[in-house]
Amino acid sequence: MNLRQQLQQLLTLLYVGTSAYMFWKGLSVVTNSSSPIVVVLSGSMEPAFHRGDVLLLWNRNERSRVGDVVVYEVNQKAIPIVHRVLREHHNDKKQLLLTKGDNNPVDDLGLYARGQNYLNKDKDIVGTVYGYFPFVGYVTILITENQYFKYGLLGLIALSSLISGEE
Amino acid sequence: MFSIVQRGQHVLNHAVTLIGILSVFIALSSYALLQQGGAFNLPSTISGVSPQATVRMSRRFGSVGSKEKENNKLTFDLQADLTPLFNWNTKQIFVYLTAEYPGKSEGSSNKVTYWDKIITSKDNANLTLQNEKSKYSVWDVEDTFRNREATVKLEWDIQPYVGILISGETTGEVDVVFPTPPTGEEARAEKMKKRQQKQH
Amino acid sequence: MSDLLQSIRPYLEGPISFKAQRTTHDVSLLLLNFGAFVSFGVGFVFQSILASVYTFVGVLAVTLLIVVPPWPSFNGDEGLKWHEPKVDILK
Repeated sequence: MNLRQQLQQLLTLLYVGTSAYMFWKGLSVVTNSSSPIVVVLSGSMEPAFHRGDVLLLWNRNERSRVGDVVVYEVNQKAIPIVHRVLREHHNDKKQLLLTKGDNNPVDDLGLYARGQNYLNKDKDIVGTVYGYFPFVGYVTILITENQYFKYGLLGLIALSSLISGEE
Repeated sequence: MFSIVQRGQHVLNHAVTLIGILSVFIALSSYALLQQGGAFNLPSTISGVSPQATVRMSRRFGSVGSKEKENNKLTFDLQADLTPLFNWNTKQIFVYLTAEYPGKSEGSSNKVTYWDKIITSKDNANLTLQNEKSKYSVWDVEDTFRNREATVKLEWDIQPYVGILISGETTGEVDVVFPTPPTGEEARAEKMKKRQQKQH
Repeated sequence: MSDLLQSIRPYLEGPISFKAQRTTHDVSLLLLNFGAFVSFGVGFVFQSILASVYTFVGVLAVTLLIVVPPWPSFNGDEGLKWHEPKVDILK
């Protein structure tokens, strides 16, 4: 393989990477959500959502309604939480929400930040779930949580590039 | 299509595309079925709603710094047939009893959930409840919310196997006024009464 | 190492003739599209999404089986006369 081919491959790789990034950011702008597609990581909404299910979010609604499933982040903690709105209190300026996981016995008061009694719609909500596709996100869970799967996948990619390499 | 890998890739690629298209059609058909079955106009009868108020002092009941926080619960009767919400794309329905009431200030409004239920099968979707207790003890953003008039409704949210989450409400509704919690003495008297009833 | 790779490559590659390439392409599209159509119908009639999934997975498995392996009939004589190479490029 000569230098030109190698550079061409690098270019293709960069192209794939940047177009994925552009798609993601474009979707972010359209949905007004920092993370327009999320993968369910916990079982707290079973049997509605299982681990690995993919959710599509929308954040251009002015207010959340009781019964909506929302994704929220507390205090910039790394893990977004997917739960249902149990109560809402709003006036012209802001909306306060109390959430609960369908499969949890109690509401989310214990999950919020210290001294926080409600979520703020504008600040804490990443988006409202409107679309659902089962299972396909499980790959990301396998990659992050199962090292055998991760290395197996890397090995497979390496092997296939060896075998199908240009003569 | 020259090698095994190319042929496998081609077939799987096309299959994935078709699964996407199929999902869209499934979601559309289930929406049409819901419309056709009158899902957005389902009748329900809510009756015998009797709210009871208490005063709580624990954080689990919304109290901040052990200040008195008014809570209320209620019992209710309910009749609603939700079977039209089930079709081939319905994984579960989430049914919940809400109360909507105005806030203290102008333009403010509140909506709270008293009771909810997950129904995963068509066979359990015809609800008849007698003297059912609310699942949650409800408090407000304010310390008290007595004497406010609330509208109680039964609402639903469909979780599909694939596609869009659809929600709506049933037509039945009833108005209640939130009660005043008993004073300390009244509460004590009530407790004594209950204890005596138990002994007999 | 590279010799070993060279020797197993034909088996991993499983090449088929150019006519068969066209046939497999057409057959796979036809089978899958038809399968998707049928699986929607089956699911709708039985009002069961599982029936739909099973039908489609079944059709997919059949398609893979027919199209992917380099069956002997995919490598028959195509009655083509290739030009003799004028220069031996391997030399």
